[in-house]
Amino acid sequence: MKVKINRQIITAVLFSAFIFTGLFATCCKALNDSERFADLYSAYLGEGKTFPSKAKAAVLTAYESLHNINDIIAFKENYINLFGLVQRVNGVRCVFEEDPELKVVKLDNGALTYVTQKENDLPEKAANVAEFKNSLAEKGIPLMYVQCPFKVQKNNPGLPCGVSDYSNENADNFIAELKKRGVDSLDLRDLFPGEQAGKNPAFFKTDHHWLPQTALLAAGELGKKLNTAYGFNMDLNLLEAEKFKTETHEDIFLGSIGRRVGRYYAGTDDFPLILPEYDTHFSCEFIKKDTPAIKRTGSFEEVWIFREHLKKDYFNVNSYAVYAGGGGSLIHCRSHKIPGKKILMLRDSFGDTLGLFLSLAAGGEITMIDLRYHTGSVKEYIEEFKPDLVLIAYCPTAFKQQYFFTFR
Amino acid sequence: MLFSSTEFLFFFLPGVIFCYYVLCRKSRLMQNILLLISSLLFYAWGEPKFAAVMVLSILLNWFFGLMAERFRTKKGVLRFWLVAATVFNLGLLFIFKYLMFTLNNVNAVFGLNINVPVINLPIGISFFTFQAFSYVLDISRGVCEAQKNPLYAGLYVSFFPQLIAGPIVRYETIARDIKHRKENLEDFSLGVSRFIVGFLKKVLLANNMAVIAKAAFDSTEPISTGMAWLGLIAYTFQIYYDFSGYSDMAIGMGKMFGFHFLENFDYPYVSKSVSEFWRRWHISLGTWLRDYVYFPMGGSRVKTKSRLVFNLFVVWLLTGLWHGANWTFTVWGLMYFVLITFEKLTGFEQKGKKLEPLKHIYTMAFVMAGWVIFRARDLSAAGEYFLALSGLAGSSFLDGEFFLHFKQNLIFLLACALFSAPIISFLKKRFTPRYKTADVLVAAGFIFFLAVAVSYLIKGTYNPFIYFNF
Repeated sequence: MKVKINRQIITAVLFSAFIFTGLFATCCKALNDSERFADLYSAYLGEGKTFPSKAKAAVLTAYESLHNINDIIAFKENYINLFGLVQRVNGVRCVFEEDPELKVVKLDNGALTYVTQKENDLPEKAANVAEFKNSLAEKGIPLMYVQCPFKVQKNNPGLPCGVSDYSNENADNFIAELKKRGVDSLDLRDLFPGEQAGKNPAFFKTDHHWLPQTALLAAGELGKKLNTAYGFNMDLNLLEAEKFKTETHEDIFLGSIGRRVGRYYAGTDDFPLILPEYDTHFSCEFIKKDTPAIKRTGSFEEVWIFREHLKKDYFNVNSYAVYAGGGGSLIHCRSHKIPGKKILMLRDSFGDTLGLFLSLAAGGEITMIDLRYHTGSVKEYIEEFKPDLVLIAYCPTAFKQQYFFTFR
Repeated sequence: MLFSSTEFLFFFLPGVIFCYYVLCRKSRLMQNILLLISSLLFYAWGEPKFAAVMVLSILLNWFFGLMAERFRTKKGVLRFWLVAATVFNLGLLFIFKYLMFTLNNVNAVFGLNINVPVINLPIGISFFTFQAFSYVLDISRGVCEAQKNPLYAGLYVSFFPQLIAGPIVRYETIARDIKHRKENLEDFSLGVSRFIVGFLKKVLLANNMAVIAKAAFDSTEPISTGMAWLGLIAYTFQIYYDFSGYSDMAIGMGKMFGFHFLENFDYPYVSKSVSEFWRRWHISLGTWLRDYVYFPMGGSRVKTKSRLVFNLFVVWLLTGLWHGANWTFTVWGLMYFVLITFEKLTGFEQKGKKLEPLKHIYTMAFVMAGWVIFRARDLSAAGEYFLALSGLAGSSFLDGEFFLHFKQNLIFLLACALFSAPIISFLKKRFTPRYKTADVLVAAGFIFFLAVAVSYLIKGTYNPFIYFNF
């Protein structure tokens, strides 16, 4: 029988090729990533050694893997880029997601951001900080809250019509609540005028984090405050921009927000690697959950910079992690060049860069703890470390997480 | 498992197609067993324990079917088995779907404190129960023969394309197809195109409209009048493209495996009366209630108008309740009872041929008003939404949220409006491509839009399943 080729038959052939290629390529990708399945299988198997328990573990592994197929699906990055391209062509400035907290918004200057909701439990969170401060005061340790900035600026938000962001309102309210309770704070948000005008950008375009030079500026401002209010004696010249050299790695970085919408929606970022031009000598220990601790000794670059993250692999490499290796639950660093006090900084990912630049001038010892990942007790660590000052440095998105404000 | 998911598109569907056409191609029995097992797996994917409920329903209705056929001529015994089938099917539906609703209302009305058990609704229970029940009823009436093989009866009830969102397929429609279907390239190809159309309707149109509807209907803040209207228009499109998209995918997949289901939607939004709307909307439910409830009660061939009104009341009350155990669905069903009774008693459809645009506006006004009640969380929320629509809620006329959603979705809104009329069949009649290149381009366009739709799924955009209540 002669088959008359028509539109439907061509469509059916292309469709079959489409779904079978998807199936085949995803299976191949999964086979290459077999460690993931082995881990999952081991987790389900536990101590079980019998055939039924192995079979059950295998079924559950297959079930969970298929349920989360979007994580491993072949051509995922191409699909996300296609999605972003469609949004761009369609003039979309607010990309809604299943999870409303993750909607991606394009600001007037073309940069991407998340927006935050109004938080109603800020007085309770401020009370936790105040209580923590009081417990430290008994030991003679002062505490200061450092408000890191957010991409949506207070006076010039640059949001599309119809999109609201409460990050600055939350930050204002939180600082006011702290003030009421006698907790000192430093608000870094007003340091960066001109962001929305496109001059001197303070943040990556495709990532929610600040640029290294912004963190450097913030470290200088923080240093000033520590010198004047907390008896530090830092040489702030060490944090002047002209004391640093910049390596610009062009078109290398697609930030965490950019990865949600693809590179055709917002473009990509250059990564400016800022390094001090003077001699430094540190010893640092980086502790990450479920991985062995990393110990490094050497110059600022040898200790703080993880160059493996300077790779053009938009969807799989986070270049922000060049600094401090992307953080972790605890980083402890000692400066061998400059004697100084001991600082404990409870921080989110903004604090990684803030803390490492601060360490250049502050000297002494600095420990940075991320309460998201830290499983030990902060209070016990303080007993052991005996810091001269405790800093809490968060960007406004931290307000939605209780664990950032629980000081066990 | 949802059709609009990557695990379905890239694993389940190609897996079943491969096994069906390659591994089992020489044996109809093996193909049917494969389809049955796949269907049970498909159903069990989200909530495995409910597969047992469906299997129980299949086995008992298969047995009732055998009994109905055996005692077809013995009225007394037949009646016994029909009562048993009715008690089982409606009982199953009542326990899973209406028991909580009933007890909550009994507690509220009589001030009692009866413990209300939390019962999760097995997905698609209304669809498969109606389908299984109609099988028994059709056998008792001699419309079709009982299926001797429980696997085939199981395949009829659980066949995955129509399992969770319809259409409600009658046994007589596919009885022949189960054993004697003839798959061919033409059907397979038409099925693929139909599946893609349904997929695009669901993912690109319905899901984008769902974002607007959610912003309007689920807002915790007062919404502007403009946003209320935009939300309502979006929901009107969402429910149509979601439901008809699922039906298209079901009909398309049926064709891919050699089954021929009847149409379930026929451009309902071009209707010029509410009665016409219901002849075009969810046709399989309308005809089910007509054939198994309305006609047995006498339909419109009754002696008195009051009896006709009563028959209509029962049918539309059931239509409302079928959609969910909530007063919103009940009121929604009864609204249609009032409108259809009015149209029947006044001969509305036959009158005013020159006033068709006005009749269309009248129809859509009530259909959309109905969607407000249907979509609202409860009746008071529906009342608040009507206030927002009327501009009496005290909020602004237009706001930023309206402009954001309107601007971002303008293309989708236009596409929704355009494709809700039979524009494609109109164009097809006038512009048949003469060249193969055009065919290739159209086919490539289909696949391109399919890839775009897949990108939405992989991205994790809002992808609601609106049949959880059904």
